[in-house]
Amino acid sequence: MNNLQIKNLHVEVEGKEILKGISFEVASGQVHAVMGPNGSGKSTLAYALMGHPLYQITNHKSQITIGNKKIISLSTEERARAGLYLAMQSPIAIPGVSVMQLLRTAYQQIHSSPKKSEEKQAIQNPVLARRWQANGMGLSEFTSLVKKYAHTLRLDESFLGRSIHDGFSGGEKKKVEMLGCLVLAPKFAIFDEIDTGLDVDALRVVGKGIDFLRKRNVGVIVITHYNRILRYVTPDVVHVLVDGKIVQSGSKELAKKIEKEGYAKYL
Amino acid sequence: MQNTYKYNFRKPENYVFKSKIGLDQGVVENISARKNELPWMRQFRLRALRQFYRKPLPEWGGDLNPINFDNIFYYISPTDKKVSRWEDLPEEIRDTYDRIGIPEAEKKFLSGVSAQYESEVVYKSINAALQKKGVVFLDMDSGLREYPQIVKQYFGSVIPPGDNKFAALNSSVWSGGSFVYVPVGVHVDLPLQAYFRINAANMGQFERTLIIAEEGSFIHYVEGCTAPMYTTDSLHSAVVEIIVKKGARVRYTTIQNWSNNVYNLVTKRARVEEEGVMEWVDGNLGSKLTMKYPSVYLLGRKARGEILSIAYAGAGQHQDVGAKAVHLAPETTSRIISKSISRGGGRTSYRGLVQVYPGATKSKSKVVCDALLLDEASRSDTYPTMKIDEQDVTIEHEATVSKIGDEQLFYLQSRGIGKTQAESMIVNGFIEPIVKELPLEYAVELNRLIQLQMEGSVG
Amino acid sequence: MKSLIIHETKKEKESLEYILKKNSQLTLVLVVSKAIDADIHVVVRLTGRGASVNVIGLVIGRGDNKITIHTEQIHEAPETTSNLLVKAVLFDEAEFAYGGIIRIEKNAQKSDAYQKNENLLLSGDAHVRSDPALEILTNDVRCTHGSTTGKLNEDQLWYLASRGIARSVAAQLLVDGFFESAIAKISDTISKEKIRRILWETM
Repeated sequence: MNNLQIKNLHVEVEGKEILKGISFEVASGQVHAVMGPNGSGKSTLAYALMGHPLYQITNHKSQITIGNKKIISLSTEERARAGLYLAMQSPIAIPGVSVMQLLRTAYQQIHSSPKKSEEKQAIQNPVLARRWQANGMGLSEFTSLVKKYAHTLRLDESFLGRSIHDGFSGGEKKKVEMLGCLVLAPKFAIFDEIDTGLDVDALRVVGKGIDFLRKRNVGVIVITHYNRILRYVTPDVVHVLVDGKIVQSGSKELAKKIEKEGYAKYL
Repeated sequence: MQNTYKYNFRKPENYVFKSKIGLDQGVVENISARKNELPWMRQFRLRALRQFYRKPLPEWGGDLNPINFDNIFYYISPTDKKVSRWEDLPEEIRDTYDRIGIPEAEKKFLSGVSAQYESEVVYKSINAALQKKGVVFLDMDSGLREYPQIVKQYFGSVIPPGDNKFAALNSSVWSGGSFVYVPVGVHVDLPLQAYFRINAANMGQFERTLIIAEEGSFIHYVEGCTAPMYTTDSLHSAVVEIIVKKGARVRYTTIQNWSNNVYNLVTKRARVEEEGVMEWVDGNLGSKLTMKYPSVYLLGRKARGEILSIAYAGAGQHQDVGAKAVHLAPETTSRIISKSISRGGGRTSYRGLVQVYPGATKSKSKVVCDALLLDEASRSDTYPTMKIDEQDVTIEHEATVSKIGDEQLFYLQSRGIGKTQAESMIVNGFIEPIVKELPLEYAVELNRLIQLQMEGSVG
Repeated sequence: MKSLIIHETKKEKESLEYILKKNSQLTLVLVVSKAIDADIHVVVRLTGRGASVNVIGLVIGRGDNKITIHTEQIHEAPETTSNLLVKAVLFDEAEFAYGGIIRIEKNAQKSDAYQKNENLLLSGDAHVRSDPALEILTNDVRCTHGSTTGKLNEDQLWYLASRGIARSVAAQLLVDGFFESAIAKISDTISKEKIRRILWETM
């Protein structure tokens, strides 16, 4: 059983405790929604799961596991290789590094372990790049795969050659984050407020993407503020996060209730 | 220019005295003797004189060759420097005073007509309030006399006489300037205006100012005047030393508008300790040549320095000004904003240094220089230097030189505003980010002055 | 007349001068990457109306290399354009000094001049000195310059880590990207490849 287990997670940011003991379990193929008011710690959860250095785990009883593998002490890149993916709300631009280049490098780093010297050459030597391969896939095969996913996301091919997130609109950034998730094939994916700032068409596309992940047996955590995404994706479990604690968990009905009543009763 | 004045302040020394022309050991000893100084200060002056002789003129900056050091009076009592009658002032000056809206009393004072600036009364009452808080605000001569221990501890500690030729000169013949001491935790909310405590010594050519802000204190010191300052002295070489202790904040605002015969060479530096903040606001409108680079030495963790500089150069003027920020501790930040305007053949040069020493990790510096060239005859230079010896830093510099934008002009004109007025509106808008940091009266005067300059009605 | 010159520094001391006459265009790419000490002086004089120059300097300093680049963009005719970008990546105890001047003479009205120096410090012992200067003697011009120095962006590194990329590989991606954004200014693909090859040859 390859579940993502979060146990008693306590997280501090600059000395202040933000998450005060979060516990829940996501099975493969399940979609969990995490909702809550501003300041409840939603983004902290996303970044702490991914091991961002600013988010300190203070309690030695806290644990995060994927199946049997304990990942709470792993570095960020090790967690990605263990099968975790974080689609960010406001990803940073990296001028000079194209979307395709990043995906190619990440895929290789995650799915195969090339020798160190080949590593370097494959990245900047255009000739050797043609010899790139990972997981049994050659470069042209990989490129086709990426283009296919871009197409389903209604993301123009031209984005693949552009510097990642450099001058992209909010919607374009979120689509590229989703693209990364589809291409890199993680076991568990966290979406940090993917619905914020998206128009109806983009939301629909993203919703389809999450459903696709579900069918591929990827476990998904959707962190949402406005709950709009939940109109396009039906969650299996809904958690309400208030002031760093999960105050209630339930089915999709809980989401509808929150939509009507808000968070007042938890505050 | 012939301005021989009589200027009677109520002061102990009430007669005209002039040292013999030129500089030598005797002149320096005379100055010290007249002031009845303690031996250590006399020695300090003499040592500085030797350094003055040793040091060469800087090879960069403005043209200092015309200065004839032998043809200067190094000590003149101020009674000798101003016109005695309003009518004796050149017409442009009188006119400017009127049009900028200088208060009547100030006009009279500046022109020397008034025996005493009425603010002497203001000074006395302010001083009473300050004394209650333990704040000391005196001219430098009095400071040395009444607080010799403190002065001895800090005098020359930020700018040693050997720092540069003109610091050495000032160190040997200094006279006048201010001494300000702010005790621990005291906040002085009202800006201390140098002209409040005007007495003779203030308008010196070789002013020496020392400001000490103890831990957690705050002071805002203001000197200078937007109105054109008339003086016979052709060489001004001031030194300003500021010590900002832990968590203290000092803001030093200067506006100078010396007449076009003056060489204005100033060394200004602040030493800033942990979490201290130093803000230099520097306006250079007058003089034939100004060389001035207010500096911050960030010695303690999280120390911060900010330098805002405005320079205006009209015909025959060269403003060679800028700033220096030296990062010697971690998490220090500096910000330098320079705005300059050249017109009618004037030349503005920004000269700056940002230096980061090893160990000054996580330091940040940002420098922005904007220069406006108003016509074909004028010139603008930018000479920044960055020396970076620490990896974990973020250092940025950017500069822009341009003329008044056609689109901006057209827009204003299309709203019925005449060309000259539109230009001065744009120029005022250009300097606004810095002007808004000035005390209100200065800001108002400065804006009007710029307007006048643009209209071409003032020199 | 349009030309592209790729100049690879091989000697310790070099002096290059280019004079651009009326309406001529030049793109000059300067590559310093052979782990040698270098002292390069490049002067570009725009003497004819409408002349324009694009200078791209790419520098890799290693070991105890001492590299100095001094450039001059001199505008002596009206409606001339110059655009300079010098990017340096410094490893180990390398020292890099960039000095440059844009000088726009009195008769060079309606000229545009740009100058940018960007330095990336990859080790704690590298040193940089940057002195970009401007001397503008006429007013109907547009002129800007800038200089930035720092280390690799931690947020960018973390983003790449979140994609499973090991730090050393991520650093290499960012260094490549650092130069790529300058190389992207060249339109000819073959020249771009050549520049990349020259840049990374020693690695």
